[in-house]
Amino acid sequence: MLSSSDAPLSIAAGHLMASGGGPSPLWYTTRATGVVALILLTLTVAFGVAGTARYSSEPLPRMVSAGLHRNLSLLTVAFVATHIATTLADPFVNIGIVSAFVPFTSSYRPFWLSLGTIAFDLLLALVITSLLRTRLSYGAWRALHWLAYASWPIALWHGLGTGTDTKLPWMLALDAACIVVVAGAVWWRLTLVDPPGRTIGTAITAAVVIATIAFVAIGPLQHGWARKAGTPQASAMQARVRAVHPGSAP
Amino acid sequence: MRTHVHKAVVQRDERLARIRKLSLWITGGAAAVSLGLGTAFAHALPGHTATTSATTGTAHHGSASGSSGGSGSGKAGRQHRHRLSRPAHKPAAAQPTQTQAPVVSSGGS
Repeated sequence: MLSSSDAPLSIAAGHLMASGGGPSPLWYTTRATGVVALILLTLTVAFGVAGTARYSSEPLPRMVSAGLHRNLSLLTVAFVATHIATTLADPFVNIGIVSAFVPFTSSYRPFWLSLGTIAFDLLLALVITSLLRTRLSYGAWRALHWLAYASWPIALWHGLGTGTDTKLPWMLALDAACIVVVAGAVWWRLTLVDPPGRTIGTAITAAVVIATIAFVAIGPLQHGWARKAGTPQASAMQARVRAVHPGSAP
Repeated sequence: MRTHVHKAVVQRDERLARIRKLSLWITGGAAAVSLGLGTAFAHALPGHTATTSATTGTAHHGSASGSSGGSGSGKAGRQHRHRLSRPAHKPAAAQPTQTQAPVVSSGGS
């Protein structure tokens, strides 16, 4: 795995370690909170879908699922905010605060990072409009809430495209589980609507799932994905140094 | 009528309490998972053991192959051995001590 061209990496890592660089808790926190935020967002969407279908049962009455949906969405925003804050604070990649809110302004993996920015903006819009729901018409709030269906796959693709752990088997299994939960919930929801909407919805859901699987196969799982994703040369060097010597945080 | 209202109020309070309890459990679980993942990332990354192997030497290597049980646990065992094969520091620092001229004792004939 370590080729002869990696020899300078060892030297670079040695220099970094010698310069007193230690492990970066911020980097680990960024990745951990990103993973947890995806899980929470998945649960939020699942409870939201259950709410739109007016699902109710003895262990999970509608009031409880609606309350959990609201609290989970706020918790998701909190974890995403932590994810962004630690990313900005970590010196590993130079991402400005503007890039956290405005897409396509980062030099580091611009497209894949921007997907996360867009998902965050959508999530913020959803939460703010939900908190101000009494001041909005139901139609406007409902139309905005449809963005939730777009926010989830965008966040998933952000994680797949720029996630450090995308290739790890447990991360792939987790992504697959999230897809199964959301696709299953949407499919179940679609069985309750009229045929034209059901057909269109099923086609869109299937297309998203197939596109995601195809993307993972031809993208992040392939060799050299970091460079294709738009990682600057200096960051790629640091990432490789870190992969070999995690204790040498730049 | 009053009994009916009272029953509804009790049911609402019970459901609110359930929401609060479940939300707290999920929040705690999410925080615990986040902490656990962060710790796991810090300790289980490829190469992390390589930095410690410089001090533990081959003893660490032996324990790695021992834990894999001879034939190994498949991919994980191979990855672990692969990690340990990487140098943690450039060898240049250790070489001068090896090439130093031998100290000649005053003894002998």
